Amino acid sequence: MNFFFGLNLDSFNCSLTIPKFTNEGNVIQQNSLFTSKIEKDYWLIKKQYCDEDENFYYLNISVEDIENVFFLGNKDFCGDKEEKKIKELRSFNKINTDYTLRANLKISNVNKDESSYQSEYPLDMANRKGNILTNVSSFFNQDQNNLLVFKQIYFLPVKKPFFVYLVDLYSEKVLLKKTFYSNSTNTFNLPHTEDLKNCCFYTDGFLGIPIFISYGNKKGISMEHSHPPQLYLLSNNRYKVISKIKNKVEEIVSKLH
Amino acid sequence: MFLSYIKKSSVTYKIRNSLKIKPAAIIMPGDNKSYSISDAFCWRKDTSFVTNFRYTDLVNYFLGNNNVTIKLVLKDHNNNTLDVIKLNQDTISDDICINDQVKKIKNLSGHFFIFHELKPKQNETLVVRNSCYTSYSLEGKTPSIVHGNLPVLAEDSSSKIYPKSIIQYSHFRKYTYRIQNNFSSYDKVEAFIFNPTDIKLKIQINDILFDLKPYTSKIIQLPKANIYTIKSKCLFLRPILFVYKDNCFDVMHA
Repeated sequence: MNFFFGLNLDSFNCSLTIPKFTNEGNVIQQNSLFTSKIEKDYWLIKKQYCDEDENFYYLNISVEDIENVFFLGNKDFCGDKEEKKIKELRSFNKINTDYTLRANLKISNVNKDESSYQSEYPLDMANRKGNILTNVSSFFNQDQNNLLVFKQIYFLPVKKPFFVYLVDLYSEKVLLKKTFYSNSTNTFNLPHTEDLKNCCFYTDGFLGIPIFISYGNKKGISMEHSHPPQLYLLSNNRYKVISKIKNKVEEIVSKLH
Repeated sequence: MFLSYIKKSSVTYKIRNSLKIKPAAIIMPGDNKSYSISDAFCWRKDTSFVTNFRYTDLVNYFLGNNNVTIKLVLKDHNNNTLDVIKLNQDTISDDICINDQVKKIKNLSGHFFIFHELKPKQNETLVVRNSCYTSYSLEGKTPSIVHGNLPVLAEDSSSKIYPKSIIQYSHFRKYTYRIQNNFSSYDKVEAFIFNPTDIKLKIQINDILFDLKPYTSKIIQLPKANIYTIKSKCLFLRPILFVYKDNCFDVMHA
């Protein structure tokens, strides 16, 4: 079971196609789509109305709903005109965690260029704090705008600041430092002035999904997410090795403070 | 201990997968050796496609060993080796234009693998999986980027290929992979399909039927449909999709 999200970006419209079946072809029975948003110090949950057919929900995300968190749940969880207030966005809906659903997250611009990927925000990731480390140069296109988008969802209804960095692992320099916020779509432009082949993006304190969007002079858009290092290192020593790299990055960024 | 051995034996997995009793789709090498595992990546230069591979030197990234070779193995769709390119780089990440490597080759598309030279320390096991990013640019437009999505081959530290399939298959029952998107708005959809098993697969995508020999691939244009359902005896047959709409092109993993 996952959360789904839109991206709050000035230059793009955003839509979600949310499946009602698993990759194995099993239909999710008695489901409804719900939306949750932060109101004061709680999450306000209600049914999300949108176009649907037997296989999908089709959600064009309006500007006012763009930071909402969407999820599939049992039909009876929240009535048609009902609103629920909860303190924590976890363990509130007898959520079935046995299956994985991925929604097609699409962005498009006024020129009708579009790009999409099969997106998800794992429930477990929203329940934890941590650090994200990912390389950036694989997503960089010369002569284009290269936007790094960091989607953060946290179970508590707070917009808390945290620092993120662009770090060169060879020169051990911090190329960029920014403040991002929890439960937000955060962005910055990757700099053209730097060689990014030894660089990684690092978040200090919050997990999330780094998404890279390339657009500009050439026709077309590219959007793709990156993977955490655990996907690339499978040996039993992986957590030790990855912690060592994160510690090195921690050391580099700590020199700034 | 005996029970644990039985549970993890390949015969047990075969029975489970063939009868759909708690099937296990992916079984990584479990022999305590070091391996470099590669996903199957698609390259294409047909209809003015330019393919770039954007990779990370995983051994350098994880262990700080920056003098190791990365081997790019270019194949045609029938898995015949076209070229083996050895890359030595001094950066953590880099990219290589596949079109430049296949200039003299008549084939217009195929697949490729990437293996990292492994020099594990004594008593240390290193298993890395390269699932990096391939970009495809059509007619000079913004390259569309997609990550690898099927771990298929493993090479040990003496460059010997692991003899078993990583992606598992069933001997009896068929498995379904239904792609969780509606494709009705696209003018054209192509699927890159790779057979990650060591058996010949009979594959059905909606009403299309075709065979794929072990470790071979195919780019196939799919008939227009809302949903694509893939059926075969492979437990995890996940394609890369090339979608076209008006003048727009995109690539995605399914």
